[in-house]
This record gives sequence, C-alpha cells and structure tokens, in this order.
Amino acid sequence: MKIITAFCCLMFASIAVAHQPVMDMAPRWSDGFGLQLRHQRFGSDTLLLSDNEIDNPLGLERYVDTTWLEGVYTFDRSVRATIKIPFIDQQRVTSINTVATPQQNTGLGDIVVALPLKRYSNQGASTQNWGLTPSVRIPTGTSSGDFPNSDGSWDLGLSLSYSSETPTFYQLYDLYYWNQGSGERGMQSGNSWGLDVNIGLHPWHDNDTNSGIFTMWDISVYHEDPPNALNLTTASGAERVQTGPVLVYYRNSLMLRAEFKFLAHEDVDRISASRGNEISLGIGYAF
Amino acid sequence: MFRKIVAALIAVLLSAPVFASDFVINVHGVVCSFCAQGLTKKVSKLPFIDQSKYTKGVKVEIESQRVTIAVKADQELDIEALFKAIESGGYEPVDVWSVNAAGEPDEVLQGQP
Repeated sequence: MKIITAFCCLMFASIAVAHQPVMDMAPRWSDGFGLQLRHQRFGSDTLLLSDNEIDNPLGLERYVDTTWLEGVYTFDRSVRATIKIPFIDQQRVTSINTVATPQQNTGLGDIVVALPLKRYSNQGASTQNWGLTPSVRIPTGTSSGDFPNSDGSWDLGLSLSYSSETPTFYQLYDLYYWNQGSGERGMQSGNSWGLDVNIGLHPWHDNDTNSGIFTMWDISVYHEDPPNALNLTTASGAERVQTGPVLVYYRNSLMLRAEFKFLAHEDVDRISASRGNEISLGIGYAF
Repeated sequence: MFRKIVAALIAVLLSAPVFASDFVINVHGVVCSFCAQGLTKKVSKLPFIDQSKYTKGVKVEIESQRVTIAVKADQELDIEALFKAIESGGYEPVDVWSVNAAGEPDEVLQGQP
C-alpha cells in the first residue's frame, strides 16, 4: 500500500496531441482565424501494475475534465500561429497512510503556443501538406497544492505531420515529441513521443449549403518516460494505444466535432490509475 | 402600327435587367468544405463579383473542383485579380471558361483548353 501511496499521484491531463484547432485544414486562407471550444473528459477507477489490473480496495480513482479554448491565426497558408488554453477540473481519490483521501484542483492549466509551418501541394482532386510544428508549453497552471495541474516547467514540443484529402477521403499522420523541462518543487514530468493517425471518409457534402459530415477513425500511440519521484502531477511513465471514432458536422464556417477514444492498450511503469476511456466534444468557427 | 409594336418591344427588352455573366474556373485542391469557404471568402470580395447569385457570387463544387462565379453586368472580369484571390485562399487556379446559354463551359479565356 505504501507503493500506492507514493505513486498513485495520478496523471496530469496529457497535452501531447498536436492536432491544430478547427481541424487540420482550416483556416487555410491568408488572414484567416478560427476559434474552437472543446471539452475533454477521461479517467477511471481501475488500478494498473504494468498492463495488469490489480485490486483496488480503497476505491482509488482519478477523473480529469478539461475545457479547451483554442485559437488559430493563418498569416498565409504556410505559416500559422495557434494557442490552446486549458481550464482543468481534476479530482482523484488517493491513498495517504492507507486512507482513501479525495483531492481536487480546478483552474487554468498550462497554455500551449505553436507555430505550424506547412508546405501544400494541390494536385487536381487532392490536396496534401507536410507540416512542421514547434510548440512551447507555458507553465501558467498552478504547481502548488497536493494535486497541482502543472509541474511548473517550460516544455518544448515538435511535430512532423502529413495529411492529404480528396472529396471523399482524408488521412493524417502526426509524429510528435515533447521535451519536459525542470519544474517547481523538484517536479519533472517524463518526456513523451507519439504518433496520431486519422483516417477519414467524407460520405456527404452539399455544395449549395456548403454543409456535410466527416467520419474518421483515430489511432493514438504514445510513450511517456517515467517522471522523477517528486512529481505530484504524473504517476508513472506509460505506453498507451487509444483508438476510436470521430464524427464531424460542418456548415459553412461552423464545425461540430464529437470524438470517443477507448483504451486499447496501456502499460504503466509503476502502480497507477488507468487513463480510461476518453470523450471529447467541440464546436469551432472559422472567420 | 407594326413599327410601333416593334419599337415598344425593343424598348422593353432594353429596359429589362441584363443578367450577369457566369464564368467557370477549374481549381486544383478545392476538395473540402473549408476549402470552399476560404475560396468563397476571398473571391466574393472582388469588386466585379455579383454577390446576389450563388453564395456571395461564388459556387464551389468540390467533387469536380469547379468554381462558378457571377460577374456584374457592367463590369469586366479581371482574371489576374481573380487568380490572385484564389491563390490567397490557398488553391491553384488552372483555367477560366466563359459559359454558354446552357450553363456549360464554352470558351477558355485563360489557361489550357
């Protein structure tokens, strides 16, 4: 149980996803900007050791709700700037001296600023682009308390992506890496890397109203190094595979997006709560 | 009498609104909703576009990458400005066609026929 006490400091909401706000493709026009409000929820009461579920007599758990305000500005189609502002409401039941102890924290998380650079190629009925996106995670979240929502570090990210689209098919591959800086109070999360794959079909589009539906399947594979032992935000390193459907409805400038990811595989370095399944709902608008 | 009737008909015809001309542009890469939106946003701002037709004067068919624009009756189509607007929307214009009475592309004005 001591092990659980020491290491059941459950994982901070991962901000590794490198997708751009308001989908990957928009706004592509020069001097365009977009906003997206997205709510994400994940968590579970399943306790893991490696990839095995273990008994959880104290009912330890962790749930994280994050509301993201995301913005993008397109200077021209090859240069954009993005910002992602998270508001986090996280709660957990952890074990302190073998007593189940609820903890909770609500507030601003770490803001992510990125500069996506894209090289487009249009070939008749298809368009494709390569993207290189440097990112900075700014420690705007609180690193104080028993359950901080930030380790207080400046982190650097880099992603390499490729996407292509035809009137009926969409595909995106995004390989990313996050280097974690040293935080406050001796905390330091582990570095991480991952691959996101989106394969999508475009079953319906109406030219007159410029509206339609997109269906996609998302696969996320990522690895996170173990944090240092003092870290209060991150329980352990892990390897995870999440996958699930994405449904998008759009009408002119408006986009609604619903996403569900179930945890297909999870292997943690130390005893830790499973990340659990994840649901995300968003609404975006491009100006 | 006959001359008076003919003159009256001609007067009516001359006073009737003259419909704007349509032109068709083939554009590489316009394959999605946001593509259509970006292109429409840029092209509709051109002064010669008749915004009373289509969506602000522009119709985009993503299946064929064909863009139809309506040009005001008293204005000339400025192909250079049109191509620049399409490029600033993020896409590559290929050619421009005038449209016949049946609404089909008729004669290429710029680009490969």
